[in-house]
Amino acid sequence: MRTWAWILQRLSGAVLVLALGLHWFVQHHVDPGAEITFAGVTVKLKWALYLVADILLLAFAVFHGLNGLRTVVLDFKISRSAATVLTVVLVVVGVGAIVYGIPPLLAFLRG
Amino acid sequence: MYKPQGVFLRNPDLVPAYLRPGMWGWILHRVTGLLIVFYLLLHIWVIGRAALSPQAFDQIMVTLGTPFWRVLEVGLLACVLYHGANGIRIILFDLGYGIRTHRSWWYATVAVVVLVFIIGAVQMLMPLFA
Repeated sequence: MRTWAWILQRLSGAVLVLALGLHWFVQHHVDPGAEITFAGVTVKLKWALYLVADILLLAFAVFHGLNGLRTVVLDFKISRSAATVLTVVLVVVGVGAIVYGIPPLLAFLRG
Repeated sequence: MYKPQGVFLRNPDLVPAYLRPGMWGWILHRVTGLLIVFYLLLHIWVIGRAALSPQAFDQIMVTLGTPFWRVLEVGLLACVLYHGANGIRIILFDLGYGIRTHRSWWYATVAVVVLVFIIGAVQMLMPLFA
């Protein structure tokens, strides 16, 4: 489990460098100075590839963030049972954040 | 001779006066990581609420364009740039590259981050002075 946590953290991190770079660039620099608007985001998300990229970004970011948080807390040498509780809580928070985060993206498509 | 006490007994490498570049890199990676994950959850929540209606979304975007939030966003840029660049450095070390020259890579990472940050920050803050 530790090895997987480590490998997946590296893989998701590498993906995030690219995906988050794209996310930031598209939101702030494609049309510099322009306000981000609902209509503008709708145009971007109607492009299927961008929608898929955004959902993947959401999932990878939540995983990487909470897995990293877990690593930081585990470094404080908490007990085994506390570690299990921590893992369960983070999985619930993570799945919750992803499930909460996808419908708003789809809401842009309905306009 | 310095004798580690308290939390530093467990990890003498963390004694502030003795921190070396590698430790600074590690601490900064953790601190920026924690700040980013906190922001991420907030971001998902705010966008989730905002997307309920086009009017609400555009209103919130106007609010986020005000100086206070814009400056915070520049701080976010700094955290993300550092965390990403140092993350690449960590992955390279894990693959076996650059371990012996890790200190030079640390300075190179900081240099690249500072350079890109200045460009990004200027672009983000310019509209406030327009």
